Amino acid sequence: MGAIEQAAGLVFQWDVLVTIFFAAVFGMFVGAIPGLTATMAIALLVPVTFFMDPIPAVGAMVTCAAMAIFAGDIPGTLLRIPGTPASAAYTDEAYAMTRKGEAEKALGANLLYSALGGLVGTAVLIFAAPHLAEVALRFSSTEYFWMAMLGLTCAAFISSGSPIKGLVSLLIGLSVATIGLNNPAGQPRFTFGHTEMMGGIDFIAAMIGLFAVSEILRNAAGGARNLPVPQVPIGNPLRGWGTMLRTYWRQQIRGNVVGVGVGALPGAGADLAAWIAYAMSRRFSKNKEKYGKGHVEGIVEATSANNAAVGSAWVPALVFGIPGDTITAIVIGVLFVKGLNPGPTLFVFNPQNIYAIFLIFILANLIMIPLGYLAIRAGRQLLRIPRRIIMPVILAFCMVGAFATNNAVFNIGIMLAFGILGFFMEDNGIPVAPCILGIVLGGMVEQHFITTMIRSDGELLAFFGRPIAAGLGIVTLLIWVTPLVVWLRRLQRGSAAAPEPSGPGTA
Amino acid sequence: MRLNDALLGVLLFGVAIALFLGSRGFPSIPGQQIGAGAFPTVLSAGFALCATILVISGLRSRLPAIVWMDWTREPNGIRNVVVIIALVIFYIAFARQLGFMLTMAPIIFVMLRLFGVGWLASLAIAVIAVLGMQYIFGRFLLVPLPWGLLAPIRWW
Repeated sequence: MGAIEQAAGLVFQWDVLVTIFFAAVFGMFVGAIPGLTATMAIALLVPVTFFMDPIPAVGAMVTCAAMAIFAGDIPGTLLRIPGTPASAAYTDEAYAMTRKGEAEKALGANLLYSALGGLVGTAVLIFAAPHLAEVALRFSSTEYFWMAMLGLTCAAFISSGSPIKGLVSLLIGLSVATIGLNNPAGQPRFTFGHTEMMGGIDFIAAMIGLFAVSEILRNAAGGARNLPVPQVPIGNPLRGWGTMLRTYWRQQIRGNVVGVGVGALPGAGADLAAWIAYAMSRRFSKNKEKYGKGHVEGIVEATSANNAAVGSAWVPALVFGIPGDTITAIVIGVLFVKGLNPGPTLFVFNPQNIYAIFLIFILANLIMIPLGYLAIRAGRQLLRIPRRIIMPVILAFCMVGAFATNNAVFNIGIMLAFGILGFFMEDNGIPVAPCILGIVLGGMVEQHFITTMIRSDGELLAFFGRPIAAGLGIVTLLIWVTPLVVWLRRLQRGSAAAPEPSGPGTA
Repeated sequence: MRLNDALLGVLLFGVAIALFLGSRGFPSIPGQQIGAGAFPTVLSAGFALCATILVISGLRSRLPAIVWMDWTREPNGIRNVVVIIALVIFYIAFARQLGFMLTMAPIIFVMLRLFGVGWLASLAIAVIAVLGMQYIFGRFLLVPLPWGLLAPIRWW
């Protein structure tokens, strides 16, 4: 029996399909509630997946992520509050459409192009990943070191508004990763004599803290008030799909390409893809003057991009074990727990599992259309869910989730500490995402760094001794040097007093 | 609470020094010049670099030392944050003795009251949520949530 038939056998089982369905509904809910992000939905899902088999567990996360990214467009369109950071790029545009009474057209476009973008991203994942895996099989620790560095560099420098603060966030994450026994020397580091710290900081607990608890604190700080529900009629979102598909196919393809490219870059994800696609759409459009006043063109391109990125972000995650965004960072953590260690060998030894994940991707994007249709029709009711009741229950879920990772109350303390840290970082404009990637990749970076150093007897040039490694290394160093040069030149001109640009991906 | 970049830089400089001093004591791998201290030392250098840049740009920006964000001016903003942190600490301290349900129910109740939900509704939501979670997580998802004082009346 071939791997694809085996994969179908793994996926088309009642328990798997039911799990996927519930995960989809859950993702839809969480994504649609403003203030709850797609990453938070995934983080809350983790403790539930612990008892599941690997395939339904991964399937639940894939579906939940795709759904939450789409559902984030609903509050963005109706309330001008993006449900997830990935929708932020075109929230103003979509809200302007709502004010013109075209809410259903905006949401319909979001749904259609989210699903199509997701399918394109999946197609790229299916075709690119196995080929890349063959290349990756020949990688040594030097290449892995640079791949991880490239991912971390992109996360710190490109996807955050202020490169320095992105770097600070990354360093915090890497430092957290050094805690415990898990290092090449097997030496307990920064444990302060606690046996609980020997195993290192539990990544899931830290994650729940950074993404969920800090958001709960943020909501509580604002009083967890209910939002004004807009009194706009929402018609049939399916109307106008035919016209849109004919008019905007160029924008769609361009958005897909941008999304796939940005998503596949280790360390950059859907948020950044949407911002770039929206800006590009505006630059190349014949109707520039209509942008920002409720014009669907930019939305088509940006929403095509962010969902395509969700799929292609899995390419570096599955092939190299290097997450493309915070969502895949969590999924990598879960894959390790399930014994499906990401990396090229996964493609060689367990191809049926990989194909099963691909199948689930396709299913997730297909199920999005009917569920998304219902969610849009129920959009106003979804927004009426009282946040002041949701927040306490979510905190309780967070605490149980942190506890469940290894049944230690100590982890709830870790969760709280990272919740406060995340809250403080957000207040100070330090992005959280690089910190997460740092925690996930810290061990890998150090291990490959030390291995290469030992093999070369401390010769630093060994990092550029192989062609692929040299290429990756030079790209990484260029990204490092550029902001420093820009900063120094700005300092010379004395214009450093200008306010820092607040870019995308700060959420 | 937004610190001026200069202040943030000073804070990070402290982190850099602590990291550097902390990693000096780690022994190297036998027969190698490199050991457990190498990576944290690199990180501390990174922190020091960021700290320097932040201090310089912070001093040039002439912003106040601390900017109080909008949420600190919200009525109850600070109170809500402090109480929620205290509630989590309360759970950490008492969950083992009192059990999951007896600790979590008051936490949910207090939070709901904090956000202005009525007495009766808060009580009902807290009780239902706790019973549901103990059942779903404890029974179905096999998380060993502590029963504490309620252990004698455990029904499964």
